[in-house]
Amino acid sequence: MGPLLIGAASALWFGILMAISPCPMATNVAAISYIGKRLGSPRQVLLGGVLYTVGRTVAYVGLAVVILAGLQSIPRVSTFLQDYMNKVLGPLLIVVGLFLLELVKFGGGGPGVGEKLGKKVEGWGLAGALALGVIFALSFCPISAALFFGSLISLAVKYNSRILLPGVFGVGTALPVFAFAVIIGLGVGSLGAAFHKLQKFEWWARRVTGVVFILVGIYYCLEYIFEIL
Amino acid sequence: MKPKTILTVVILAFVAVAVGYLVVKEVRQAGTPETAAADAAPSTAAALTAELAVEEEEETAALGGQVVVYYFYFGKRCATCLKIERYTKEALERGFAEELAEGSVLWKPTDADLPQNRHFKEDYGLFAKAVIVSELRAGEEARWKSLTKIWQLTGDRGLFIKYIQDEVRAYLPGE
Repeated sequence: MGPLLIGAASALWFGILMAISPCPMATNVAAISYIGKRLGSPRQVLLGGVLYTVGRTVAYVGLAVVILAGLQSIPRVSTFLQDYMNKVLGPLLIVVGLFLLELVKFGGGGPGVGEKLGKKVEGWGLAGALALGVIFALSFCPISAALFFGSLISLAVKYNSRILLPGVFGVGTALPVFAFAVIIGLGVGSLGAAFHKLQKFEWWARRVTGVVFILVGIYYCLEYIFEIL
Repeated sequence: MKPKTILTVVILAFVAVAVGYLVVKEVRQAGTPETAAADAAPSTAAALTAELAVEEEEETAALGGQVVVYYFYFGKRCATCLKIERYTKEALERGFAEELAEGSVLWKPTDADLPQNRHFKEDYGLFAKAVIVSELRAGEEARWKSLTKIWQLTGDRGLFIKYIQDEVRAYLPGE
């Protein structure tokens, strides 16, 4: 096996290790819920999984490029992201959840405005999956920071790989969510279609996703802002 | 008021409180002068004991080699981080009981958020909780190493303990 291949295999393994560690699990649940809500359309679920993976990959490649170009020191970036991203994430998820549930109305609150906004958030669809990938990737907790800034960056320096290894790492971190999207998209597509025939499925799926976002957001607030968990 | 409206108000109030609490906390932290806490005299018996212990360690270090094993923590203390601290302590107690007793190996869990310890973040380039092995010769740091594999080995207690013990052994005199 070529040295770079060994490096890529290690990067993938670090990514998978990060994905299955307890800390990022809450965001994975939110991502699965968001992508899976279009159960009636297997193609969209698959595409959502791909875009979520792309989002994570782009975030890690971008961060690696900045660090390896020497533009920022590793401790500074790591401390900043660990300190602030998780704190911002809680309120952000709650607000998005409120939109998905169509509980928030603003802009004068005329008839149907809240509903339109709710549908707009819902309509982010695939772009939303991409955005979630980027945001969740940058929400570092101790173990993910150690794996990215310690193991992955060291590996990228060793193999002089600014893009490939961080990219493979990003794919590894998205694997559980991507696997879910594939299973839903290919395996139980017919089940989704059957559910879809119940007409109200999409309505429920969006609300379940909104509730999951709010619960995960509350968890992040309690854990990282109030620090009581 | 409809239950839906009440629920929305409660959730939005929670978000507002969370954001407000965060802002106040950050402003207070930013306003804390680093030197004030560092210069403050130790007021508790524990702090005095710790100071005496440091002096004793320095005397020991002046006489010969000494290996210091730090566990640096800062920010949120996660379950995996606590496991790393526990396993490292166990590795030292099981492998270097004699050295710990005589002071040639020191175990130092250290809060790197404390003003007097913040320099360690720069000194060792800390980007996450870390175990650092440092060798002191005549009170001066001769070499140090960050044990980065700790995060990959937390799933295997035996391998983790062996890794710590091997790395510390490599820093002992005569190795």
